[in-house]
Amino acid sequence: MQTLASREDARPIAIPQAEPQPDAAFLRLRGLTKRYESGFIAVDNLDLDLPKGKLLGLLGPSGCGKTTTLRMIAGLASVTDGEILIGGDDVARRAPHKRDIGLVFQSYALFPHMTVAENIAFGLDMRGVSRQEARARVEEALEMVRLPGYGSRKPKEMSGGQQQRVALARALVIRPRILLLDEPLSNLDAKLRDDMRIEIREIQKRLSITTVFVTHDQVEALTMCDVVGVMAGGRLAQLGTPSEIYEKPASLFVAEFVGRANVIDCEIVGRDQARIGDQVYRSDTKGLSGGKAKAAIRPHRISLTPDRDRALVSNATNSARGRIARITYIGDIVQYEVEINGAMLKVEVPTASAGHGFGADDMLLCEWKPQDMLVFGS
Amino acid sequence: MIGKISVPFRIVVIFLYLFLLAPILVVLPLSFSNDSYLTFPPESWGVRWYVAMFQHAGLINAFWLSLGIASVVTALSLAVGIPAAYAIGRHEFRGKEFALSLFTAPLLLPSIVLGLAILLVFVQARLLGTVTGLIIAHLIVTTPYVVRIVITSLSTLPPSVEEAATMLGASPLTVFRRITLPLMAPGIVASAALSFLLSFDEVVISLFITGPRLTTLPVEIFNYVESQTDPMTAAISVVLVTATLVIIMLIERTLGLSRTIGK
Ligand SMILES: Nc1ncnc2c1ncn2[C@@H]1O[C@H](COP(=O)(O)OP(=O)(O)O)[C@@H](O)[C@H]1O
Ligand SMILES: [Mg+2]
Repeated sequence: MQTLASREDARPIAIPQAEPQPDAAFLRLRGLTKRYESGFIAVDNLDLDLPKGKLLGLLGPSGCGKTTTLRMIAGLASVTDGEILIGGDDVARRAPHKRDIGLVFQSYALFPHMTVAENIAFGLDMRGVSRQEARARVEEALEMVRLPGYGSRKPKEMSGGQQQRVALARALVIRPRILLLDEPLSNLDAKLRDDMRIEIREIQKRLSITTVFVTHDQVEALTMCDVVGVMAGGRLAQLGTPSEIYEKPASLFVAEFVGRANVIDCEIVGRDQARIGDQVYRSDTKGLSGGKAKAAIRPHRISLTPDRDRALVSNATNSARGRIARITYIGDIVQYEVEINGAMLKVEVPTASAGHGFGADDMLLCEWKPQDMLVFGS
Repeated sequence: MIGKISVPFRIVVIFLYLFLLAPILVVLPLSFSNDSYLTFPPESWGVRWYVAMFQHAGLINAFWLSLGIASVVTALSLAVGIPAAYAIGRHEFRGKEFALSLFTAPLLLPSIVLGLAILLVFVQARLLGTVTGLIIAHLIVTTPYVVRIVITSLSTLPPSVEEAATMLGASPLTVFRRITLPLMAPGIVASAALSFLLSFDEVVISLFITGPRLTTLPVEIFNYVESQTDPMTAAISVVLVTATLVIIMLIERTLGLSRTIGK
C-alpha cells in the first residue's frame, strides 16, 4: 500500500508512465477468470497481449463474457483468478478508483446533477488539479469531441450522440493509462454510429491511447480495431488483425460470426480436397486429410457465370453447376440461392453487375477460389 | 404530464377528492363555531375555540414535546435508514433478504400488535413514560418507511453512474457524498417529511408508552376528545391540517413532489 500511494502521488498527471519498449504488450491478461457466485464461469482463462497505443476490439455474441472481462480490467468486477498487467504492474487486486483507467459506458452514465463541464472536471477534481488548469483542460476536452461551448448544459439537454461524446471527454480528460469502451455505439442510430466510429478511432489514434472496445457488431470490430479478439463462451476463440479474423477464421464459429458464410456438410477426401455430394473441390483443409467436415464459403466470394455445360475443378478455381432456386434483391446486392449437388449456396453479387439475365430456375456455374473454401473438421 | 383525461375518469377523480376532503370540509366551518357543544351547523360563529386552544397548557406542552420528538425521530431514522437502504439496495451480501424483511416488517404489523410488543419490552427495560422510550417506539414505525423510500429512489439511480465516478478516481466515500447522496436527495427529503409526520401523528403506539406526565399531542387530543365534546378539536384539526399542507407545499416548491415520490 505504501509504495502504491507514493507512486500515485509522485506521478505528474500530464506525463505518461515510464514507457515500455514500443512493441512490448502494455496490457496483458494472464489466465483471467471470472466465476460468479452462482458458479457460472463467465470468463475462462483468458490470455491476451495488447501493445501500447493499439485498439483491441472484443467481439462476440451477447453473453459471451465481454462486459465481464472489461469490468475486471476496470476493477468493477472482482477477479476470480489470473493477472491483469498494465505497463508491468499487476492491478488485478487494486481498487478501481486507483487504477487510472477511463471507462465509457453503454448508457453514458453522466452525472445528471452536474453540468457537462462539471462532469468532465470531476476526474480532475479527484486528482487535485487546480481550478484554473481544470478549466483549460475541460475546454480542450470539449474541443476534442467537437462540443465547444456546451460546458454549461445539463446532460439531459443533450442528444444521445452528444452525451456519448461528453462521456468520452470525461473518460479521456484524466489521461488514463487505458481506455475501455463497452458497446459505446449501440444506443445510437445508424448514421450517427458511422460518424462516431470514425471519431472515436481518430481520437484514439491521435492520443495513441491503449484501448479495449467491446462490441457485438462485427462491422465495428473490423473497421475500427487494430486487433480483434473474438470471444465465445468466456474464451478467446481467435485473436488477430481484422483481415486475419475475416480471411483466416480459426474455427467455424469465427467464420460464421464474423461476416456471412455458407456452411455446407462435406467430407475431406485428401489434403486440401473436400467432397460435396459426388463432386470433389480444392479447398483449404488446414492440414486435415480425412473425415466429416464443414466447409465455409462467403457468399460474395462466389461468382456466377452462364452455364458452360461442364463443371471443372482446376487448381485456380472450383466450379459447380447449379440451378437458381430463389432471388432476393437487397439493394446494394442481389442474393441468389443456388442449388448445387443437393446443397444450397447463397451467392451475393453487387447490384451494378448483377447480370440481370439470371432468373429463377436458370442453370449456371458457381465459381470460387480454393482459398475461399475453408474446411473445418467437425 | 397526463395529456388527455376522459370525462368519466375526471368525474371519478373529482368524487375521490371530495371523499378524501369531506372531513376537512366539515371541520373547517365547525372550528369557527362559538358554541359550547358540537352542533352542525354551528349556531354562533367566532374564534373562541382557537383562543382556548392556544391557552390550553396541556395541549401546548404536548405540542412542543411532539415537535421535539418528531424532529429527533426524523434525524435518527434517516441516520439509520439511509445506510441500511444503501447497503440493501447496492450490495450483495448474505442475509440481504432477511435484512430487508427485518427493516420493513413493522410496516405490515398492525399498530396495536406492535404497540403491545413494545409495551412488553419497555416494561422490562423501564422505558415506559420516558422520552427515550417514545423516540425508540417511533423509530420502529418510521425507519421502515425511510428504508423503503430510499431503496426505491436508489433503484432509479443506475449503478453505472456511481461506477463512472469510481473510475474517475473517487473513493467509495467520495462517490457516496458527491454522487449518490445528491441524487438520492428527493427520496431523502420525502422520507424525512414522512418520518416527521408519522411521528407527529402517531397515536396507537404512543398510547401504550405515554403517561400522565408525558403526553404527545395526538394522545393529548385523543384524551381530550374522550372527555370533552366541544369544537376545540375542530380548531386543532384545522391547525394541524394547515401545518401539514404548508410542509408539503414547501417540499413541492423546493423539489417538486412528483419527483420526490416517484418518477
Ligand atoms: N452478476 C452475475 N451473476 C451471474 N452471472 C452473471 C452475472 N453477470 C453476468 N453474468 C453472466 O455471465 C455471462 C457473461 O456476461 P457478460 O460479460 O455481460 O456478457 P456480454 O457482455 O458478452 O454480453 C452471461 O451469461 C451472464 O448471464
Ligand atoms: Mg455486455
